Amino acid sequence: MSGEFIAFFILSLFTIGGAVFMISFTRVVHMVVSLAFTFLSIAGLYVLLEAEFVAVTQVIVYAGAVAIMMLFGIMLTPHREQEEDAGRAQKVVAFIAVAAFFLIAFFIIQGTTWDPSVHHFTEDNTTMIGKTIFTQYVIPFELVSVLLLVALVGAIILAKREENDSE
Amino acid sequence: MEQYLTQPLSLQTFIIFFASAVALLLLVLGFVTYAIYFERKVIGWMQARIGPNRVGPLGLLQTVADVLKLLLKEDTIPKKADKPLFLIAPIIAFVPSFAVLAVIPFTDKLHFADLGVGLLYYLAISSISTIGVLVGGWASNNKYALIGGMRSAAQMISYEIPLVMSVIGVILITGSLNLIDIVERQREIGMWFIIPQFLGFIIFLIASISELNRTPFDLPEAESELVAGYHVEYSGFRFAFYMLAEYVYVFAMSALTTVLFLGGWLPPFEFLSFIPGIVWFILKFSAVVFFLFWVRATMPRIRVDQLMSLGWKVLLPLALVNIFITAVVKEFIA
Amino acid sequence: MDITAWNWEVMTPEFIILGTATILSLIDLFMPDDRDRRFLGILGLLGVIAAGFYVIKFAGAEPVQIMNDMFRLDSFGTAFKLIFLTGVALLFILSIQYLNRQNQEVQYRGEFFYLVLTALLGMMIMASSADLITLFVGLEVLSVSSYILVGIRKKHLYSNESAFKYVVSGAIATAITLYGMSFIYGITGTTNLYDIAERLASAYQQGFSLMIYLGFFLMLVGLSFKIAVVPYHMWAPDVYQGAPTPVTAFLSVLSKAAGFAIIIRIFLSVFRSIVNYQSDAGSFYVLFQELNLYIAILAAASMIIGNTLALRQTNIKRLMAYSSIAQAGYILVPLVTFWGINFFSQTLFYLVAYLFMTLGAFAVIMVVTTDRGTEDIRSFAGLYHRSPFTAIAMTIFLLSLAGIPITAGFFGKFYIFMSSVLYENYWLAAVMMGTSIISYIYYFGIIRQMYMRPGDTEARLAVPLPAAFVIAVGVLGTVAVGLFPDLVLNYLNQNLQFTDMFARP
Repeated sequence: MSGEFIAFFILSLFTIGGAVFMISFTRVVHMVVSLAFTFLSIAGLYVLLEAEFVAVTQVIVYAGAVAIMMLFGIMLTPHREQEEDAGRAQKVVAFIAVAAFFLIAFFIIQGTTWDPSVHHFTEDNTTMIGKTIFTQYVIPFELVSVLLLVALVGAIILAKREENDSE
Repeated sequence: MEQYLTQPLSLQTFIIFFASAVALLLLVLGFVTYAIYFERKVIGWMQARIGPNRVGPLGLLQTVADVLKLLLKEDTIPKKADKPLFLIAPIIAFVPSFAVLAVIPFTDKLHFADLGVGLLYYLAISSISTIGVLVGGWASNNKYALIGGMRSAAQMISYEIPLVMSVIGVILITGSLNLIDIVERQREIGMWFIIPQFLGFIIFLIASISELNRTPFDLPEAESELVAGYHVEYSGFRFAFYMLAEYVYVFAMSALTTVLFLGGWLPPFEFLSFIPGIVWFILKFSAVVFFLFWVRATMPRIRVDQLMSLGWKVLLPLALVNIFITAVVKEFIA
Repeated sequence: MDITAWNWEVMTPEFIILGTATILSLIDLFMPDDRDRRFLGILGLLGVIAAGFYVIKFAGAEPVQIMNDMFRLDSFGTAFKLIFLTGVALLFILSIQYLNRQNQEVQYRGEFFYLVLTALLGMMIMASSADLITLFVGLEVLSVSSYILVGIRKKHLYSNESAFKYVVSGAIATAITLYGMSFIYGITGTTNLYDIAERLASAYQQGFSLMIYLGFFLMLVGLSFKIAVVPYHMWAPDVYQGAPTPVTAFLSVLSKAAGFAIIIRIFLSVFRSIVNYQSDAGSFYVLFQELNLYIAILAAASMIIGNTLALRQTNIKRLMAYSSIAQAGYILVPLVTFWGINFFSQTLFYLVAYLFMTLGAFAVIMVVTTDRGTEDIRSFAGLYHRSPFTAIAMTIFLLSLAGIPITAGFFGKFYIFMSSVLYENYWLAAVMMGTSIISYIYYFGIIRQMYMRPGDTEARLAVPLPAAFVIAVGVLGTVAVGLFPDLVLNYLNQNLQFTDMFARP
């Protein structure tokens, strides 16, 4: 049993555990904190896949920005702690759908024979990522900047408080 | 770090991991103890006082006594607090502060993890501490703590951006995120990055003081406005955790400044290279730490709106200008 | 390879749109707040026309690609881009009318115009790339722009609700799409559609067939969100109702057309070459003889659900939403029966017809609902007496949507129906026929309101010039395409070699 396997086991446990707790907690702040655990554990899984750069980006973007922004949003807005209960029938249907999808995906992944050989990255993959983004993937990369600009404009105009607002 | 992970986890390697971590922890604790003492002494001298001088010779055991007092205090938990989060928040704040130390190279031989993305690792992990501060402030169920936590998170997020942007100049010149490569590159070009990246250095310094929540940016714990900020409800060893995290970050940030801009373990002149690298590192590191204390003793605290506009309207554009100039210069020289 | 070595000229239309959007946003930023911003719409319109000029100029040329198919100029993309640009041009004219000084609901007029342009940029990218990443980013640019456009009436309760619903369901759809793409990428290790096609064909033989099906279904479900067909149609009525009317028109025509562009491009490119050799009935193409059954089920379900639920609607925009779900079902039919070259011209013919009739109908709806201050179908009562020409125009649009002869919609539906019959897919043809007849009920319901019901007022309905122009273009387009369908089909078939979509230059 290598350290890698133990690390994988622990990280998967945290990832799934964080996600499950995220759903089962009733207080929103608890949910976000457990979600942050999931984000961090996913970053750990990326490290095991030798994708250090993606792992670090995951931490910066999700744990460092998204989780904190969510906490901010929750703390600055009034909210009731108990959510309204969805109907029983709705819960049953949702459970059946999710369980069915899980079983299908599980059996498909189980039933596929994978190539067991492992490919290791020999080169410095951060440099490679940088070079590829700015050469081959430059069109989607520039488009992403348009996307972010649009999201920024949208966030501002939808969230900005008007001068004539009564509050 | 993969080669450590993939080899079988024998008792021997485990002991090596554990022992080196403990050694670093003890070192850092020693640093924190005497950094606090030093800080109080320096501020005392600057204000024409003597500073701590009663416990032990020259007051050297003052901090030890303070820590003992903290640890013996009752660990109070407010009745209306969100208990699980209240308990876990100081740990969330502390663990990353210690984890970032793993990538700091003290000399070319003495370092822990030689990570390809070392610099980004530091910036990423340190951002997790914000969650601890924010959650701690919220879980205390106290308005001062909440405002302190909010301010702290807003400040840390705002200044993280210029902080990251300001080091991009260094990364552009080096072509690597590895901290050891960055120091080696400073040896190759024959000067520390403080000279070609002076603008970046200034931005980095200001942003790092703000990231550390120190004066003049200590709004999260402004006593006169917020009692004590996000940790107002904490006492005993949980309070100690927050304080510890803060000083460990001082250690880490000063070490990072040394590595990025002051040439790490490199001597200032070639003929001085007979002095071991670790000595140079400690000297530069101490100078940065002293600078932080000096600023604290001399600068007044700024207002929240000034803080935000400084970060977003001054530092961020300047950092972008710095990146642009560096890229242009690099293109012409290369 | 150096990035300057590529022929960037072929991206001129995209650059023009991007540049126009940037200029508009800068002008908007530096202009005093109280100025009338409608001239920004005219600037945007000029940009769209300039882009359209270059699209037509490049039409019919040999396919060109940039950076390993990150961007492709081929006939398929050109045809879709012409539809998008025409639609956005008409939409701009309509919006200039919509955002007049009396309209206090939309405070951010400058943003409205350049968000439409960024959405247009996203759509154009979706039509002209053969790389999963670029296609996906284009899709997201379109989606994010439209989320904001839907919610741009900030003080309007329905608008807020619909924007929120749209964002949440859109995000889930995106997640499902990406999950599907991840399986396809995982099997093939590339995002280039042609490489994927080659490797999938061999992966299918090597026992990854179930995985391929999983990727196919997830992508189909996720992308069905954009075209609002079953199983991802639930958002459409609420969002269409809450969005400002020009945005509703945008969602129901352009966003939907872009959804078809990406669906056709991905599914035909990626799954086309998979052949099953092991079956008892001899070897067959998996996409055309097995997976198309599921697309057929979706198409049939959309037609049935859209047309039957539309019967119960009293809000005109909700009714149009259900109608558009059904229309999307019709447009999916040629994809089911894909065989040979006519597929592209059938789909595009219907999209052209759909563009004219739906935009025209929404122009009328906008004028009438703004005048009456309600979106109830009864607001159309007595329209014939108030403004005969508007009523006649609306009648033409509705007849075309219903598929009555001598309108564009009839021929569009007729070709699709014939392809289904020729392909011996009789049950789908029957569903299409049956649901079309059901649709007559609600389309004629509106017509009955216009001619036979007395309205609350007999006052003349003044149709402002921009809206009148759009209505006129809609009528002309619908009637002309209906009278001379061969002209359009011949143009499509002669100038645009759609099969070059499959050719790697």
